Amino acid sequence: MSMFSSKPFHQIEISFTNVENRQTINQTIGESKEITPLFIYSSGDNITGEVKIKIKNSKKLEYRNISIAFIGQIELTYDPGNPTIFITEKVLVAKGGILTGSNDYSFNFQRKRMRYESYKGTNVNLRYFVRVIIDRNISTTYSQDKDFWVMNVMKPPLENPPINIKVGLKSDLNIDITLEQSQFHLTDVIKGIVNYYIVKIQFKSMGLSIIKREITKSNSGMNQNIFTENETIAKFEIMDGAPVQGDKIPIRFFLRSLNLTPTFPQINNIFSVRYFLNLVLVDKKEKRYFRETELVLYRNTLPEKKTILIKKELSSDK
Amino acid sequence: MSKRFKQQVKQLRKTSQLVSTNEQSKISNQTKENVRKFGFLMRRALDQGKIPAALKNASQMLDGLRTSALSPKNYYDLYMQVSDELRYLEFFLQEDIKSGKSASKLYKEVQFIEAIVPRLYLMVTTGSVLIKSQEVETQDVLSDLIEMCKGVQHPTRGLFLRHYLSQMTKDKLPDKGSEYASSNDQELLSKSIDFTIKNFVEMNKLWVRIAHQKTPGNLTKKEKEIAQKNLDIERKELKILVGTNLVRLSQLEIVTLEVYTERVLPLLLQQINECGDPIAQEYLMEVIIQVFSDDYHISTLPSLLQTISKLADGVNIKQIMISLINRLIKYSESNVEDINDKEQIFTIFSKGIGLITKERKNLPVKDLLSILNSLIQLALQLNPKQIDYIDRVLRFCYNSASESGSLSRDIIKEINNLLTTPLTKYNNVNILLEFENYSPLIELLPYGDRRKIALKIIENVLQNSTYIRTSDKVKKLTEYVKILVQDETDMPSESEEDEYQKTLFLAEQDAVCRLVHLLKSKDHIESFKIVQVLAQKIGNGGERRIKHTVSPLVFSSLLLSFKIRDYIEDNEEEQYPLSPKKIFEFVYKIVTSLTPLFPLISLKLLLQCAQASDKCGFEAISYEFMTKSILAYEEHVVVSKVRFEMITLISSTLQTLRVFDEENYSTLANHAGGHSSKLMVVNDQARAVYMCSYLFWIEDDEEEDDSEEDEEADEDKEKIYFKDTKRLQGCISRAIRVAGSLMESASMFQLLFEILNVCLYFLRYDIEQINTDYINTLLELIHRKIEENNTDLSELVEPQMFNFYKSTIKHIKYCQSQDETEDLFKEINISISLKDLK
Repeated sequence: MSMFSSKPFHQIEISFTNVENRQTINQTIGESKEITPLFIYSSGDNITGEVKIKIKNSKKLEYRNISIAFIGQIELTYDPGNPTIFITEKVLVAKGGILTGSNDYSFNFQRKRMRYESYKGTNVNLRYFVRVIIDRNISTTYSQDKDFWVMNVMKPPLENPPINIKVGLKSDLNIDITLEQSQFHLTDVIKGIVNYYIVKIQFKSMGLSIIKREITKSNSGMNQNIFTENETIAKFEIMDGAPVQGDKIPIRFFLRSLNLTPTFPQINNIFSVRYFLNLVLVDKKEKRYFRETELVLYRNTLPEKKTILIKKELSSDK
Repeated sequence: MSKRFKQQVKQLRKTSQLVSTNEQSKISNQTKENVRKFGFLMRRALDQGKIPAALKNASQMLDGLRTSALSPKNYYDLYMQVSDELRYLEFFLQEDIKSGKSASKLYKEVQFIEAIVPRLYLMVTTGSVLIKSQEVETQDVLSDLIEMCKGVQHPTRGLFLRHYLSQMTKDKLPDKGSEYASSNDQELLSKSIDFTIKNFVEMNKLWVRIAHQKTPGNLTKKEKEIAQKNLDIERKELKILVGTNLVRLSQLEIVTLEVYTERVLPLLLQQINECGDPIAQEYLMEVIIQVFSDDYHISTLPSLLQTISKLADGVNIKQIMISLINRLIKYSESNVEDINDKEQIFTIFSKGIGLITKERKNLPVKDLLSILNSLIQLALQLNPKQIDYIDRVLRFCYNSASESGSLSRDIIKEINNLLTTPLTKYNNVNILLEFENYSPLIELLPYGDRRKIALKIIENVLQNSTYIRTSDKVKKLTEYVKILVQDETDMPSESEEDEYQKTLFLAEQDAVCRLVHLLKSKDHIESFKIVQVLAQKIGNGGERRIKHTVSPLVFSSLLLSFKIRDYIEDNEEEQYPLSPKKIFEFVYKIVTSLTPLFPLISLKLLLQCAQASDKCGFEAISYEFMTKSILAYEEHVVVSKVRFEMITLISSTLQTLRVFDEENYSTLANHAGGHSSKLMVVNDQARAVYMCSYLFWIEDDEEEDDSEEDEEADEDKEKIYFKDTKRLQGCISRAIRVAGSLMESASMFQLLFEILNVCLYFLRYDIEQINTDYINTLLELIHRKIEENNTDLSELVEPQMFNFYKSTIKHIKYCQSQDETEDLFKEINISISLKDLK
């Protein structure tokens, strides 16, 4: 909206229809801190809704075109003015006229293919929204967006081989970590076992951490900039004390306690989100030993109507 | 002093894995305060129905248990406080589940907690709720918990966590009739056993691990030792946590004898064997022995012993074996009938101990002996009649001890116990005498201990009045106690003995003397053999002992002679192969051979023998004994005081003898009288001489007048056996003369008074020489002697003597006043004497 324009005397309201059974997710949109519940759609859903344009005080609004667009776009937070729209569809609902009073329109985007999930990351957001555009001849274009959230249920992988990691340190350490599978759905449980074959180091503890790695590429300008964000989204102690040769320490970690997204291998050649499991051993002298392995996450169900975010409540402060 | 103490403290601090005591209590208080705070918040959240918040508070509270700074004791206090709070939580959650909430969900949600220690405590708590809700099969929850607990490998924290697991599940383990068992399926129930054993194994591993905690490398050797000691103390404080699992197992109904034998014990023993840690092995064996019932032990003895034989070097095998044996002893005390195969128990133990000695070459002999001592107690308890068992053990002890070279004080103590146990258990030395290996064991002991045990044996015989009735046994007994009967090569010389040892020696000899009287058979031939054996042993006893021990031997023999006499008389057995005569011949040899060394003892015994043979009617033998005694007097008695004693003894003995004809008697009496009048000391001479007067007026004994036959015989006999009144009067007159010549008036008067009494005695017999005149003369003599001294009698003699004389005169007066008295006394003139007595 132009800074020169006077205070708008119109109001655009966008609402979705057929959402009685649709679940919502609480999200913040853009820079706003306000949490808004967003309806969750999946690829192939019909996105239907109504648009109400109200003109106040018996004023008149002259326009060239009124159109409603369905848009999927990727925004880099360090380059906000330059989003990449990867999908769009625009429908013209009115052509050349003057609006007064209340005007109703509807939209119906049929079986939209939305292969990317919505995502709100550190440096990148992937948004879906419906945009109402009032195109005027000379004056500024009026527009209004309404976000919705996309989640796609994926088929379980055909093959899900276990992960086996061997850690050795000369003749002082030989351990073997086995996870029952390598791909996990978002409410899955990571199960596995750590076998201590040789331990000559006195350990103090062993823990897991889940690291989210978000890599973004900026295509603007001559140089391609790559940003990598590593975020530790969970820490989980799996062993206390010093194991000895022959000990088998179980791993059981509930992913549902975390806010996770599926692994996004490469989204529109702009960003990727991947998850890693980091096994950390700490010895008596506070020396740390790491071992990282990728976890491939996929979504097998949409979230239940009400998600208890128990993780926040339970995880101890220390 | 205080400087040294400070240094020690400093050293301890440096070596301890933990922080100092001060710091400890600070941390402990802080943590407890936190537990209180979050416990309070948790309760409040629960009361408000805010379960997630309550679980969060619980988790914060449990963070306190993540500390490494506390000693086991302080950690235990903290644990107790926390588990109180958790009990509240569990109770509340349980109520919540009843109102329809999902326990499984709860169980899952606590697993999101990041820190493992709080997470597992809450898993156990909610797991307990889950079991009670019966949403899931009990055993699935149990096996999940036991698996997940592996995450805590820190010894103290792990032990307490698993203890909590054990506490929380103890009433929920599927067992016979328990509500948490969906069926009574054996396979299912045995999961309870597996669970408990698994927990036990893991706890034990954690416990053992404390020992292997590395101490800091920069310590000196001494500091390292202290550090190791601290760890051991720490471990011992924690042992009960491990042991509780075994208690739990013993409480399970499903652990029947069969299950115990086939499943439980093998696993326990395997763990004990594998852990290889002395403290653990020792403690766990002890617990197994204490918590499981005795009949289980009896059925599994071979495997228990097998395991014991393989325990680590540092384990106190002795203690374990003794505990095991003592349990069986206790059990058999009350259930001896229930034990079927007593013999087998013993055999298994014998084999087991054999195995132990084979496997453990370094088992101290003292420990082995201590074990064997318990085994003996068991054998005595199981079947005291099986003497060969015990004898075999004694043999084994002998072999082990004799192979070990010089014996330590500990070993000696054990041998003493080994010898004392059967002694006091049987309280019958006869049984002891059946052992082949008792005496060799005694021989292993040093001199002092041999003495003690020998005395104990004899005292046992005496206290129980145990008669030893065969010569073979007596022979053996003298072997057992030979140290008291004869000299030993390792005996210290007499001059080295102190007062105590001298007294002890006398006490010992006294015991031996009393023992002699219990060594006799009912068969006199055997008894004779016994005294012969004794004579031989006592004869070798050396001068110091013989002088004590010969008397009971002689007396015992003399008693035997009476018995033989009576036996022959009663049974009219003329062909009896033994006669009293033989005994006298036997005794004669002993007593006469004694004369040169111990003339007085010999003399007295000769007199005893004379009396005995007199009773048996052997004149020649009695004569021989009497002459030998007079000869002993003549040749060996020189001290004048002793001469007086001996000659009066001879004469008074002679008075009692009745077997002699007149001539023999007269000869002996003359000798006695002659020796009396030859005494050097005047006093003694006078007294001995007047005493001889009795020799010449001997009445016959009147003892055998109760049977008619004897009465007939009596008629033939004279009332008087021997009389010679002239010599009688001679003795008295000589005594008066000698007494009258005494310079010292007190002695003189005493003698005269005594003689006056003798005269009064004979006055009754109406002997012509000793008549009233004679007595009046004597009274006058006394008066004259008083007058000669120009003073009162009371000044001349002691009050005692004065009274003696007074009583005598009173007696005369009394007799005079009696009507029935013949006129004998009437004519005695006591008027002067009465005056003297005023």
